[in-house]
Amino acid sequence: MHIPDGYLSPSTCAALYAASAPFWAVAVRKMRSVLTTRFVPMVSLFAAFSFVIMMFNVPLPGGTTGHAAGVAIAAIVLGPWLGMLAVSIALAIQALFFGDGGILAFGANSFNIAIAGSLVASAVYRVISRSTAISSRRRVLAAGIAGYAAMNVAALLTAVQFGIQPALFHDALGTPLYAPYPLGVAVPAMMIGHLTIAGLAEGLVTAAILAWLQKSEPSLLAMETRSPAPGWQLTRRAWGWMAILLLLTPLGLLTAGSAWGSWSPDDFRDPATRQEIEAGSLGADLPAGVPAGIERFSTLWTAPVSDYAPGFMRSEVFGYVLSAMFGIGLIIASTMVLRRLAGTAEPVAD
Amino acid sequence: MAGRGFLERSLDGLLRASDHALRAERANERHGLLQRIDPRAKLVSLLALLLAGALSREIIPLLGLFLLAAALALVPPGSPRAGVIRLWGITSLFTAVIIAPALFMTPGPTIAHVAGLEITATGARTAAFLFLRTMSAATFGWVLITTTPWSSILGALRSLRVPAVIVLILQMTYRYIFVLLQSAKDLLVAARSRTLKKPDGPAGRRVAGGLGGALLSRSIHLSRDVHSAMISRGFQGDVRLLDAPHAGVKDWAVAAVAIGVAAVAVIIGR
Repeated sequence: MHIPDGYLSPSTCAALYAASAPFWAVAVRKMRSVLTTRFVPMVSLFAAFSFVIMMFNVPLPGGTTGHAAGVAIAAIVLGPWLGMLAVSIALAIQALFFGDGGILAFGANSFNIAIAGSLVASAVYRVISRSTAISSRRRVLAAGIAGYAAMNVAALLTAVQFGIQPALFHDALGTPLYAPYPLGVAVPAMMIGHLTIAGLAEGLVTAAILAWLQKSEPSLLAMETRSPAPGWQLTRRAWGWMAILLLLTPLGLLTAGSAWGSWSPDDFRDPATRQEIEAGSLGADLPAGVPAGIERFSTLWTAPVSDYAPGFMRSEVFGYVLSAMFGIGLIIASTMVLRRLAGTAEPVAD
Repeated sequence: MAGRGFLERSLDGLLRASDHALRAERANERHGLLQRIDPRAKLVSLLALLLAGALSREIIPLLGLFLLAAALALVPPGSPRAGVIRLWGITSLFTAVIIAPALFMTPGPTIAHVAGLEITATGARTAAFLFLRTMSAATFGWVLITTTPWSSILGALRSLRVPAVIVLILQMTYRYIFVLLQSAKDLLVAARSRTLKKPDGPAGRRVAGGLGGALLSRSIHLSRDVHSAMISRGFQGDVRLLDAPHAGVKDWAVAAVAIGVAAVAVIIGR
């Protein structure tokens, strides 16, 4: 799954470096504060472990073999942040020294495998294993599913990054400049192999290693490499910024017209809005009426607070602010529910 | 034990990694022209040429970049030519498998018929783009790694403002990869020598899990030992690295030429 150079455009590579950078920065900051002097040797040794485990061949059902990435077991044992760093370092050495994966594409590979893979593996493992005992069989199942999910999410992200290249990057003759297959080809091509072989390899290796650790080194499954729960004090500054942004939300009302691609059926019927759409679409001709799909699906769901304008508010500005407060409240409530479902961070000791 | 099981294939993978590292180190020991250029200049040149290969939208400049990379890999006396030819074989095979369907699937005017399928001009062009980009990127990377010791590459990264702690981690990881490779080889050989029947299927997965778990356990214990050794030598969490020697005018002239070539490739390929 390592993306070589040449398959993604420089702008896609740059965007994925930019997307990965905050995760790396947060991971380094969190882990340095938790591990202090242990930070350097732990990341180094686990990166080396990640590198070596990627070379192991694993027998799969059906007589085939596959390779695991080790990202799931790293995230489960070390926590997502340390796991993400260790796998990123392993990918960097693979790219720079062994030519496995591109240098320009390193950001993409890290984002898909190290970052998304670690976060998905850690979240899935926590939700399924909850607060069960370290020796519980449920943890083995959780590890297997976490590994499978992590590998397939990484593959899906890779497939999407490949699949958007032809539409976005082609020459004047329409020739794709990088990965040549559209989403309709890239996604099934990548996912078939990962849903059947690569994901299975990762899932089985993760489950097998966890089962071995349960018997031989259960203390490693309770390693304190996870960062302490932040608490509200540590997020006060973030909340402050959130409050400022909330008050600035009505600025959106200053813009005229609707965002490109967010049109309603009425926009297609209104001559003035049709002219705006055409101007924003580089002069492309619009269909005569409302596109059938937009007409059919526009009534599928009626939002309770349509257009961020509660019915009982006369002022648009206050309606926006109130909608933003309500939205933030919903997100906090959802996060608390998910956290409850995921159980506590520390497992119950035997 | 009949046939090659997963133990043998895993061992092959580990041996290939060790072999690659050994070849690269041997190539670095030569006193060639490229070996004498400052690693920072080489790294900057590599990045410029990689970027040029990614930005160019025409076949001719991409072909030019690939030929330049091939010349740098093959021409200097004592270059590990067998290694780069093997690299080309693997890269072109992998790329061919990926790109072959695009020859027929990409819409465009037909230029040839093969086994009842129509190769389109657009398909051939996109295949050429991908092939030349991947081959030149892989070859430039090969040239860097066979003319620059890994420790010098890390020093160059530090000069390019990569944080010292990351450079130290890369350095330590590289060293301990070979420690763990040896550990993994020992585990695999021990497992292989203690089995009569090829352990595939569920038994094989248990063995693989045990090997992976044992390796993880060794990594964790080794990290604790390394940490104790670092603390006992005065490490307090701050990372300080020695500054690399300054690059000379000649080195930066080489980098300027590489950047110039990259710029020409991008301009021609716009």
